[in-house]
Amino acid sequence: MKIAKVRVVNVTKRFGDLVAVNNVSFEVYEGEIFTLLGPSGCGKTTTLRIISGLEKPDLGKVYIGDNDVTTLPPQLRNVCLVFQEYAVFPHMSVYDNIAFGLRVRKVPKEELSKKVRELAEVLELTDRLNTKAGRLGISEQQRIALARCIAVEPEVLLLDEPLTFADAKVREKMRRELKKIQRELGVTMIYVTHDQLEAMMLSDRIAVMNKGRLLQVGSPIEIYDNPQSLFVAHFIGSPTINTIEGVLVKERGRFLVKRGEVAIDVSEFMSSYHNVESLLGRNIVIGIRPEDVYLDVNGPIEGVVEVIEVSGERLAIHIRVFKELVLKALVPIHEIVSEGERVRLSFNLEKVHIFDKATEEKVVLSRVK
Amino acid sequence: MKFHGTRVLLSALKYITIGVFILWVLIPVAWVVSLAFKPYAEWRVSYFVPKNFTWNNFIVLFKSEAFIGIMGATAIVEPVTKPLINSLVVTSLSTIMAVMIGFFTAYGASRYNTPGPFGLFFTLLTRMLPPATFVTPIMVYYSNLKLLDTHFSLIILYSAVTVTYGIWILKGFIDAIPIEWEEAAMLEGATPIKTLFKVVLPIARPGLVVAGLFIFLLTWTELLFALVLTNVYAVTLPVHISKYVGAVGQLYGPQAALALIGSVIPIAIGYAIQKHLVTGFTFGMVRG
Repeated sequence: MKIAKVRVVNVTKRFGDLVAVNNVSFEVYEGEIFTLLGPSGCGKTTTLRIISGLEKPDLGKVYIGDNDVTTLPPQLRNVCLVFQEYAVFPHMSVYDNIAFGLRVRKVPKEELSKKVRELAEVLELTDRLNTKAGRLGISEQQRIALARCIAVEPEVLLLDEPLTFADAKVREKMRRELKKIQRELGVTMIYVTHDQLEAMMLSDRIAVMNKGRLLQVGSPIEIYDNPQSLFVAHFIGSPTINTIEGVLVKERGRFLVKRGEVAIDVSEFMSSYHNVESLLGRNIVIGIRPEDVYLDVNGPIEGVVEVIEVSGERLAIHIRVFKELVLKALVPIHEIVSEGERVRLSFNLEKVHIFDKATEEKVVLSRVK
Repeated sequence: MKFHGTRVLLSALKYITIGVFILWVLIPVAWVVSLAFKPYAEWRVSYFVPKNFTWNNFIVLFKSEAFIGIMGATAIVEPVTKPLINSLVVTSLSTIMAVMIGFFTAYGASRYNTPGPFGLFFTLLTRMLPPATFVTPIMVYYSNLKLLDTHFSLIILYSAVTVTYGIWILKGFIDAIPIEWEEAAMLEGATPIKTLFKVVLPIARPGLVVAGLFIFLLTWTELLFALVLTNVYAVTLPVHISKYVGAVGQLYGPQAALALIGSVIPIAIGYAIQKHLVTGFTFGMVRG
């Protein structure tokens, strides 16, 4: 199987007044799982369709391997797309579905039959080969669509939210299968989803999109640990990141983030950076993930526990610090805490992010050595 | 108690209305059935069930000499075999043509927006004028082209005036087919033409059947064009049926018998297609 990299260069696509994809560029390396992640309407599916050739970009270029395919129709691109729904041809048997692309390519009958049966074996469809595809359930239909795509040995495999309609259990299994198959074939895979958890688990690298723009590209860990914008910080992670909005001020030698009655002392964090003074008087947003908020009897912040949720091996605690500020903390399940209790909190200072409120971009600070 | 009485009355009224409507529709049909099995002596009497049940009305349809003396006069009508075959050939071929042309046009209209909404509306023009207004010019054209009284001329004309139904019915069906199936086929390497034949056509099959049945019925019963444009060779069944009452006399019995034959054929086709229709409808759906 030939493995290709994909390059999208300055691609823009408008639908009427709506800019669906706005000057997006990225590169997908050979053999990786690359995920386009974002809320619905962010342009991720349009980007995928542009790569597939089903949409033509208004501006920009698409390269598959070293070839400029921008103007090439989909049937000549050697890519394949698994759709969100209506994936299989309902009037054909499972066998005919998988064989469709091979027949188009005039593959000899014996080779075709062998290949279809092999793929049916891998995707557990062997006992369904003669059933009409339209009669099968959604997870089987998605497996058929995947088999049909893989059969034609595409250089790039595209998937548009293929697991949306599967129930949670099936989705988990399919996700694992998908990764396994991709690793076995080594094919370049571009995956579209709005589910950040799915993206984190499946991908080698993730591109986060919003409102037609590409916000950040990186490995799941990079995106999680080092979000470059408020949107990415918010979109990734569950429970969502804590944010504290306010103006940075210096009072009696202490750095405070103030908004209304909210005043959080951030001196300890700020003192480890050089260019903090330049931020004074500016509207900033402090982001801190719930697992980086600790219950700490000596912590600088005090609040009342409102709600405790059990989340797997951990407790998600909602702590009201001010009338307008609730912080979430993820703590080990053995932590003894009860609703209504007064607690003190501290932050993992290494993991605090500061964003400019106006631009929503991360503020880059240089660390004191 | 009063409420109960009103309800009974309303319900009675409902059934009486339905009953009257059913009678209104079925009495002529029942009359034709009854007449078809009555001997000559009973044609003009009012009772439904024949006193002397006979197949003779059907038998004489296939013989011309049988009419001699039937009413004390000579009444010769050609045997029904040729008009029956003519009607089957003309109706089938023009229906297939109208449906296929309708399908391709509807596909273009649905997916590529050709010939535009106005153009599509324009195809209805042939149905907006009363056929009587353009049957004469068509007769003149056909006469000049030496096409009068041919199967070909009827097939062309029928498919032309019914194709608009094919377009509009099929456009509805094709609009409802998600485009993902076609896109998937193209990504598998299929050309647009191959996609059309291998994917869209089979999925649109129930639509083809509905449009086909509708057009078949319209064409099968068409009288005016056939009456004006045919004479001897290409006479169709409706024209032939009309011949039993007129200059040759009042042959109500054979006419009723032929009317019965003429209606049994589309009923049989409709019945045969029904099953096909239902399965077609269900497997087209992936999810509700």
